[in-house]
Amino acid sequence: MKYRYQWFIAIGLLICEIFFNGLLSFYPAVPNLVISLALVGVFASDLPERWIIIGVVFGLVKDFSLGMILGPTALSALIAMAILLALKIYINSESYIGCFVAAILGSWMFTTIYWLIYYFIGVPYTYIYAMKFFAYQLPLQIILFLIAFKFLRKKRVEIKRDAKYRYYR
Amino acid sequence: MRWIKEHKLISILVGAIIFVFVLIMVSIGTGGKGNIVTGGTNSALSFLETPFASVGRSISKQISGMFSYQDLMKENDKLKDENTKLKRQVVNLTLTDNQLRELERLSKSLNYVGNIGDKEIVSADIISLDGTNWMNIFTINSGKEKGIKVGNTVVSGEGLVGRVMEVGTNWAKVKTITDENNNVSFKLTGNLGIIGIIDSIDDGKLQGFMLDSNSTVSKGEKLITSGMGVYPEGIDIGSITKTKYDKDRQLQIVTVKPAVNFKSLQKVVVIL
Repeated sequence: MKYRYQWFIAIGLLICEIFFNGLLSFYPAVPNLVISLALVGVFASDLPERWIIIGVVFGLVKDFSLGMILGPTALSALIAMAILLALKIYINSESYIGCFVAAILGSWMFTTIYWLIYYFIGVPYTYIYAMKFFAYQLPLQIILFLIAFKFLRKKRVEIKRDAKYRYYR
Repeated sequence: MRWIKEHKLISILVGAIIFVFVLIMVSIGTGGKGNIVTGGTNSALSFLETPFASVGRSISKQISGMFSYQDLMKENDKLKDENTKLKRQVVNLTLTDNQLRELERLSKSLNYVGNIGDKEIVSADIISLDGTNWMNIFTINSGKEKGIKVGNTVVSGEGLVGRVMEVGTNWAKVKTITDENNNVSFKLTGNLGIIGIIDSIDDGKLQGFMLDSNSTVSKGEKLITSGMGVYPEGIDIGSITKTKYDKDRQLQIVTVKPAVNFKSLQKVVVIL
């Protein structure tokens, strides 16, 4: 996938996220679309550094827009992405089961680190309270992870296949 | 340099973590206050967010309206009853209104200067909510251009929402009462002489104590702001869900459920 297309998709998802914030006002949690895309990109792509940059930039945009301070979303996303990169050694990054595990771990790591940062700043919410909302958010995040993974995996397999059989053409 | 080129991924990751970590430290150091860059970014985002957020909200309203027909009918009946009661109250209050006019005449003749009533207000739409889902920080589509300042009180039809913590040209960030450890002084609607202070927050619930430990408060009683402190007088805070006597502190402790459902907020009013 061309790098500029990745940016367009991320911008599109940011707009969708704003739209879902209004649409899902009756549901206790709204998924982090852009951050999830960056996480799945790091896990399923052969060029994870591109997704890292996208994750940081859009994390900062979200912090600019909503956060009390700058950086918690970007830092949480970065640490979650680093953990997913390390997990790629142990989890098959081309299988759906691997993606399912990565969705749970990545989303949980992101939420936990985000809560930790704000906990040190002094926000009056316990971890259990934060996890209640995470329970509502997780199913949506997993669906999003799997959809994004389907497209990224297809592209990855095509590139690998073309590289393998290039001498036979 | 060669190592960085050979380990591009690790270099980007470590570099980005250090950069963002420094950014957090600087942001905490400056008290989370924005600058020209954050202000400009927020103005651009606000411009982008307003139409998409309003479309999402209107669709959500339509969908929830379709599935809540029976609830609406019940609410309609309830409102009719309430309307009848209010009409009766208006008749009774007419006498009080006459008395009030007489008081105004007297206060003018005595040159009495009391509280300044009739404060200016600005209504605004919520254009984005905090992505964490558990915090209740949100951005509204009105800012400096409408006279909003940092520290202004934000209310909704249900009651007290919070305070403006950051403001730009066409946007403002609002921190709710459940997100900020701020002392809020209150009085009971049932007995305006009983005063207390909300001094802590626990997972979205407010906790406070009564100034007179012998005062009798019961579950379900409603609280309003007393006017002492940062919030103006008479705004609905919530209702008492639990009371207990703390022997160590010798205080009557109350747990309060906020009147406002922060998750379903769509419109707010800023008191200037």
